[in-house]
Amino acid sequence: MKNRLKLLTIVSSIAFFQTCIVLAVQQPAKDNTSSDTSLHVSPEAIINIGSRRELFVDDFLIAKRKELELLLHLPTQKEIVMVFDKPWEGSGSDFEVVFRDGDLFRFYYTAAQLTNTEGTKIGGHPNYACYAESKDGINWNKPDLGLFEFDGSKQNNIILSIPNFDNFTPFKDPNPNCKPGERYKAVGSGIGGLFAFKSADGIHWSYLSDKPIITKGKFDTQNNAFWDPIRKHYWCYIRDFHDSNGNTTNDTKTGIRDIRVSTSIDFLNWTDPQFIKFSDSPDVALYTNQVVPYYRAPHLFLGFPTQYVDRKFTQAAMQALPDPEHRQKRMKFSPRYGTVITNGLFMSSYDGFNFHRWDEVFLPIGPQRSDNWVYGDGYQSLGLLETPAEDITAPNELSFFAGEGHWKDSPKLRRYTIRIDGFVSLHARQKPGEFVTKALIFSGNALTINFATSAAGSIIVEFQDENGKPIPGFTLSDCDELFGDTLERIVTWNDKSDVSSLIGKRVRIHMVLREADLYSLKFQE
Amino acid sequence: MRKPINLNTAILLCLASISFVCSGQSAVFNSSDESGKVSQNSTTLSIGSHLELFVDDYLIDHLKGNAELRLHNPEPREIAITLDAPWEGSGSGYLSVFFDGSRYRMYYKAAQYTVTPGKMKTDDHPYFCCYAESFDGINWYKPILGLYEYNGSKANNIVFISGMMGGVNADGAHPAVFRDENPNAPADAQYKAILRANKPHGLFAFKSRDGIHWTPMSQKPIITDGAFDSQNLAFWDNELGEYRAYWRYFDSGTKENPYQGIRGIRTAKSKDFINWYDQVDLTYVDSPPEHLYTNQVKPYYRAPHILIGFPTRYIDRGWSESMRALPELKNREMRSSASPRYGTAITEVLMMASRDGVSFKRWNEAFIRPGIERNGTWAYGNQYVGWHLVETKSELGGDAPDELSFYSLEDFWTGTSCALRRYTLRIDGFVSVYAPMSSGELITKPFTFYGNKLFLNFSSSAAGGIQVEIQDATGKIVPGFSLEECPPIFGDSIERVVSWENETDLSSLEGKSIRLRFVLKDADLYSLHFK
Repeated sequence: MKNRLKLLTIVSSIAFFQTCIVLAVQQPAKDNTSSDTSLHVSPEAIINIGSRRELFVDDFLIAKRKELELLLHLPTQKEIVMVFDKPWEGSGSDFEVVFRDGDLFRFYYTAAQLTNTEGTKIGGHPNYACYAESKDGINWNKPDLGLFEFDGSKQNNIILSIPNFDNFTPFKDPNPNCKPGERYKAVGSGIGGLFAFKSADGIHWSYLSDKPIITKGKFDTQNNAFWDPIRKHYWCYIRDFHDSNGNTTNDTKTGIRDIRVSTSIDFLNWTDPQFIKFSDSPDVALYTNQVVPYYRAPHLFLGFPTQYVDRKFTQAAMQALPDPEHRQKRMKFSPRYGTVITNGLFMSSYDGFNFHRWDEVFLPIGPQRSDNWVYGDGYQSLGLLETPAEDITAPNELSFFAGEGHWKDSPKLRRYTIRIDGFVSLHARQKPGEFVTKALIFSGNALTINFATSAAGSIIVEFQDENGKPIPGFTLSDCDELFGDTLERIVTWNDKSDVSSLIGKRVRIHMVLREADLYSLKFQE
Repeated sequence: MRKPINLNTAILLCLASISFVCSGQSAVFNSSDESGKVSQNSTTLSIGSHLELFVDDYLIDHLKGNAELRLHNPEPREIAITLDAPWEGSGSGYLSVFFDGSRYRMYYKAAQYTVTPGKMKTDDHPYFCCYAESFDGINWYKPILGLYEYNGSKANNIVFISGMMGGVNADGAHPAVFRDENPNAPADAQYKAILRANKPHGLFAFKSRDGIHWTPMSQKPIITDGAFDSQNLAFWDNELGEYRAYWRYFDSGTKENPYQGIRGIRTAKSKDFINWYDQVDLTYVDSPPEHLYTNQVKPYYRAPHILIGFPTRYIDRGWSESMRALPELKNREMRSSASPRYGTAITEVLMMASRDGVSFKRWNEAFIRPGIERNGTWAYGNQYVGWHLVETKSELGGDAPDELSFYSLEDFWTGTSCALRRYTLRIDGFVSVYAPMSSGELITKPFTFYGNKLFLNFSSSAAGGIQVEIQDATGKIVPGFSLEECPPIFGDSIERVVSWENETDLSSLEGKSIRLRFVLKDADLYSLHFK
């Protein structure tokens, strides 16, 4: 089996692999002559998962699976949380960034004007970086910051106003060596490349450097930087274009929108940006990237890119989509303003360079209404917020946001929710399915899983040695079957959960699922 | 100590360690036949201008490539109504919900179950059938009806009591109420109800002019052979031109003890609602024996030739680490002290469909799972869905298409109330033919239709889509209707017309035997409709 982990020549990533791959071993040929038809696995690198959380977003941990599918779960549409109806906002407002900062949730976005509701004009005021905040991640307010003048007044939530500037994208920097005045950092595109910004409070911003920090790239959508606490360096994911042969191109008409990545120790000097790679996905145009280290498993990067499709459709197809009149009007400014459609995708990476991307939609546009199925739909906000569920006895959920109603006045921002760790599950129907992990080493005294079953479904868990032999006391028949629907349940065998006797040993985890979804596992210290 | 393995674990272990016995629907539908040959011996179906769903394999010849049938689960929404009046309580349920043209009406069992050590107290107040209504299916209220006295007052929403009503001694706590769609139903019998009775054992029929004031239709039970210890129901089947009834029957029940064996469903037909014939137990295409509590069968209002049921799956899982980890353990233990299964049984909603009312394609995976563990879930009595679905406005607002709403019970056994949570589903959205970006195909059986246009209820991603080809019964392309002439259909619509080179008119094919070939990419096809 092809190992997804590739040793990279990037110096900064070596530290990570030291913690991850203990050693690759050649194992003796396994005796498979027994009548046991259970999953037979080949030797591969031993993965040390320690006590970190592992999500089943792809086959990273899986050696073999049978009658189990990786099922992509779609977010749930919730309420409208914001309307971009201020005169300094407008029909192209987008590029939302959210993160939690202590008791506060911070929200940044780019206010921009595209066409108006009548479709008679395009553009208007310059782009502004704007700001909102919330105590719960659900109810937001736009404070009057008094920083920048718009139309003769400073009574607005504009946080940055620079000519020819776009896609202001901040983050809070957890780098222990971060200077106090630079606790908040941001990137944004200006003339000549991607610029860096700093702030002590997340509100008052200034240039970190008067020169662009990265120049190789187009940067003409949201670019995104963050600190990686595991690898101890910064990452920056940026927009560029490639041609049909995969080479860099300056032709934005024929080029295909793509994502490059660069790394830096000091946020000022960056490596030569490389196109990120996809294991087995077709070459499609990607708009925003929205890559984040997943907060519950920061060794895992999750990306929520926008897929950009120019359908170049017929008149009949246009008539079948919402508001063909407005679509035709804005096509007068540029044909693709009418013929392009966007929606949200999902991808994951264990090294920041190689991604597993789902070809199927993650954030669909949804039922046709008068203002959707347009270029601008399904742009997912950068960042996931943990927010309370409506039922106080239910666990928290993840919230993120996406805009609707682009091209017309007062577009809206809708909240979406998804189960914690709930992007992808290993899913079994009534017919039981099973999987065996690669050989791994863990630390911790108990195994917990994030899973859901039907009332009749179940999961049972077995530990095997690295050769696939069930370990006495931890076999399928010793396991107390699990059913329910919870973010964390301890696995027990004959009523006992203690797995400390297996710490540091090379083991495989074998699970059998029926009418069940497995989202993640974690060994508890 | 080694615990005994319960039956489910034993079956699972057996399946896991020997080989997987194929019992799922995949064997029936998921042909990965690469030759693309269609069955040659299929008789031509006549679908007229019916809306057709993919809830069974009626129209499906085979699926190719990566196409599969996907069961879709309704999305949990808000608590629509709480059954918390002093004459209602924690033992409430068995609801009937329908829209009668002017308003949404809801009828339900009202009871209080008080869990005490060693005993389930069910006599805090008598059992009733109560009533609520709504103008949107979302906001519900309980009108004061003034019909029956509770605690010295008639200021309540009680429509049936348990006891003598019009000379009949019936149990108001197992009600099923419906609007009679029979065009010949007399004015004073526009609404009908079925109530069970203990003495004499059986089901009684009631009629009403307004859905509020009821009188018995007969002084004797209309159906007597059954257990009836659940929600038993009946309705007018316009396709059949007769009434159908569905009721609780145990597969090993006897006249002396009808409550033995596996909980199942029995059906019969009637021309007059009084005399019933052709009594028979339901059969299932490819489902294992499972306890089915309620049946919730009714014609699907958009395709009334298809009966759709939402039976409750009941499973007693016994005590285990997992059972102890489920919500509200103390209450669970206490009710188990009254009867073990009160604590250890769990219920949820399944989905099934039938063309003849007897043989059902039952989906073997849950339609509404208990869901994320929270108070009021994962217990016997919770996640019972009402009889039946209704169409409601979308929360997306504006011009978003309507949705289907279901109402499912929560908070059974605990406190002094039950809650009804609304769930929503796309219109026709029970099951789709789905294929990922890597593509898949559906080839239908040969059929004839009436109409001149083909409409699809479908959704695709921005990059996905559906193309349709019309073939003759032997699989040959009908000129002008090839796949290449059908521009990919993308979007998300309840009703999108299919065109070939801008031509939508199919009147030249009306009455001829044709097959449809669908090629799907990251798209769901929910229904098709010739009009």
